[in-house]
Amino acid sequence: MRLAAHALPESTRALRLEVRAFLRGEVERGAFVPAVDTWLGGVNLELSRALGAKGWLGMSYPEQYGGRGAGALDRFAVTEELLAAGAPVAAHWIAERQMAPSILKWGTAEQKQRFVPGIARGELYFAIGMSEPDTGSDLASVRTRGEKVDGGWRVNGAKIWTSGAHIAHRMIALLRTSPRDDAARHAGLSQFIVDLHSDGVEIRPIISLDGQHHFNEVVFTDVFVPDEDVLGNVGDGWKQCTSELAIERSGPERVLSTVPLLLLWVDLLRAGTLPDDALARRVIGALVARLFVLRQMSLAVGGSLAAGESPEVEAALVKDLGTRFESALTEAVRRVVPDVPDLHGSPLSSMLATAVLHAPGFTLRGGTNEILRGVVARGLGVR
Amino acid sequence: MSADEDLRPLTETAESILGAGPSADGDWDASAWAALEESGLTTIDVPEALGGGGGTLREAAEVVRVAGARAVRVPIAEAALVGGWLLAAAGLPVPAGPLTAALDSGGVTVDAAGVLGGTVRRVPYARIATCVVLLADGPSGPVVAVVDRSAGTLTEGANLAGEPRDDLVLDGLTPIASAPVDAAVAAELPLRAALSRVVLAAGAGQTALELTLRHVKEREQFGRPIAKFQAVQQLVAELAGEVATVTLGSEAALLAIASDDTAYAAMSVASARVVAADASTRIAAIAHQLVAGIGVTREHALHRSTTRLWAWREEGGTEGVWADRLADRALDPSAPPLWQQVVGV
Repeated sequence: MRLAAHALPESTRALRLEVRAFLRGEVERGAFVPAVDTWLGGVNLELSRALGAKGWLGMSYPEQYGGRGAGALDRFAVTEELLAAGAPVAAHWIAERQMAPSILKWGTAEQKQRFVPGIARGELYFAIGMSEPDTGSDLASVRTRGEKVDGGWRVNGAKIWTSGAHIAHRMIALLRTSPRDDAARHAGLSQFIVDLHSDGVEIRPIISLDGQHHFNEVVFTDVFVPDEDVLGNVGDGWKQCTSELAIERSGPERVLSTVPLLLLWVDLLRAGTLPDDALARRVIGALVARLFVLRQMSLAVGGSLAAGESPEVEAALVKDLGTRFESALTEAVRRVVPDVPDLHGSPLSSMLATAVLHAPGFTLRGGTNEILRGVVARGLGVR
Repeated sequence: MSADEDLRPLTETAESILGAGPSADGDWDASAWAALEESGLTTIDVPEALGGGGGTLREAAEVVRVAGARAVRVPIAEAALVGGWLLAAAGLPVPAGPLTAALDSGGVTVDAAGVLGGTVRRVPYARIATCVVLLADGPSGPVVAVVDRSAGTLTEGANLAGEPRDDLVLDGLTPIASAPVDAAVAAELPLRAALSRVVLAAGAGQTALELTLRHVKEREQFGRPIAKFQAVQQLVAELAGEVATVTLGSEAALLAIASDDTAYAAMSVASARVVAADASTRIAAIAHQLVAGIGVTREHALHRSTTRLWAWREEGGTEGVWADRLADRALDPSAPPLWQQVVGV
């Protein structure tokens, strides 16, 4: 295991300032209200399209598919600014982060042309199709199946905890395409780019602790998926999915989900709106220190990915630390501020309330922290 | 990654000089110091013209990290990261003999006639040093002073790891060498002192992890190595996370301190300091939990790392002191907004 400190390239400086100024303008004109955990809960199609029009989505995709061919660290800087500003980015988040990269890696030329430019424009949204009602941490146990039929596949089963399926156009679903073989558990799985508007797709809302509709159960009943929507090779689903998870687990959103809460608290103290005392200072100093170092760790993983390495163990380690920090930050602020968590209260109250109610998810989504620590333990040779 | 590759020969040299395991208990390890000095590793980033190694801060820190990992009883962190740097800032040559530095010389004064006043407290390894480098408050600004240790009145003390931490009364002493320095040096001294403890802790944390890994793979209970139990694996992973935190914090601080952005450098050192102290607490706790009974004895090597991790939390300013410094700037209305401070843009 090796994490090397990185400095962001000088090119990201101007880019970062440009994104920051744009987002400040959007807040000032009332386009959005900063919030926490907006990459799950903040859907704003207008902002997603505006970011696409600015060229800030899919920056690292090739130019022929609507990207800029920019470095992965340019995207890192933009992503950080979006998260710190508490901008509602959930609509495009999953498509932009992991689906277009997956399609660019495994897809056909026709698929790349059909899907990637729309993702870079912030117009085409995707959902993740991994977890199932009986498949959580043990991903290889998926039971939703695809059966070969003339010209395509017939899909039956259900996916669950599907963030944003109700606004997404497509789902990349991991399906079982050969009978389960306990001797080769990772064999016989394949990925499909399922059109969520197909006949036989039913999207059932699941209401979260905050009363909001983020998650869904997506039920497939004899859904037809044409051959041209198979992603990569039939039977390679596990390998493809694992490489998707490496991207899913490594970004700055695994550290910064609740940072808008800290930034707002500090702003209020600086403005003299909230009482400033020794306890508040001690708590803020400790949070700033941890944020600073965890961000450096996230950047180290980003730098390693940008260099073409596969920091699977390092990403798991940083995600474990980062997601625990996201919850710890919330609780540290809550203990000190006079504002009571209230979804309909002051800006600080409502951020606190959302952060408290979303906190259990931080250490579950994208692989539980216990699973992540298992990955780290294996990397250390004790598993 | 490339910095790593560049440092490898130095790492190997330091490791071969400092031996395979932690040095024995006792006041200090004179032979280790002599070998380090002979290889030019004690003041590695001091210009050659002043008698130093002419190397970089990153190289100096790497030697200190290895010394922290090996729990070597020599004032290498003080000489390489604090004393040598003070001498270089003042344009003073490196004096002969074991060299140490005061991590905090608050209250020490030097008058217009060049006579010192005050007491430096808890100077690492003062009792075995020939000279102590410190920063005194002079009539027209800070002054770097090199003091002949035998001329002062010394009171012995020690930290939790048994490392010498001695008080030295300076009243009426004339330094053997001194020179004024810029106020910026006085501002950077606490950063250097804090950084030296973070770098040491990165080394000690790595050793605590390695000793723990060895133990859980070898120790059998219920008919199998305890590493096979998920409860143990989860703790080992958490331990590795804390060690990685200290290491990365230290590296990021070294990267930042070498840049021109002094505010960002201060931010990165302070953050690394706070996080390293917190992580040290957790590293020692998990390592002792996993190594269990044998680990809390002097027979097992683990205590050399864990007692140091505990002791170094207090040196160069506690996590509380540094957290307050971070908060002061975060809440300063004339400073950039907090997010800008964190990302440095």
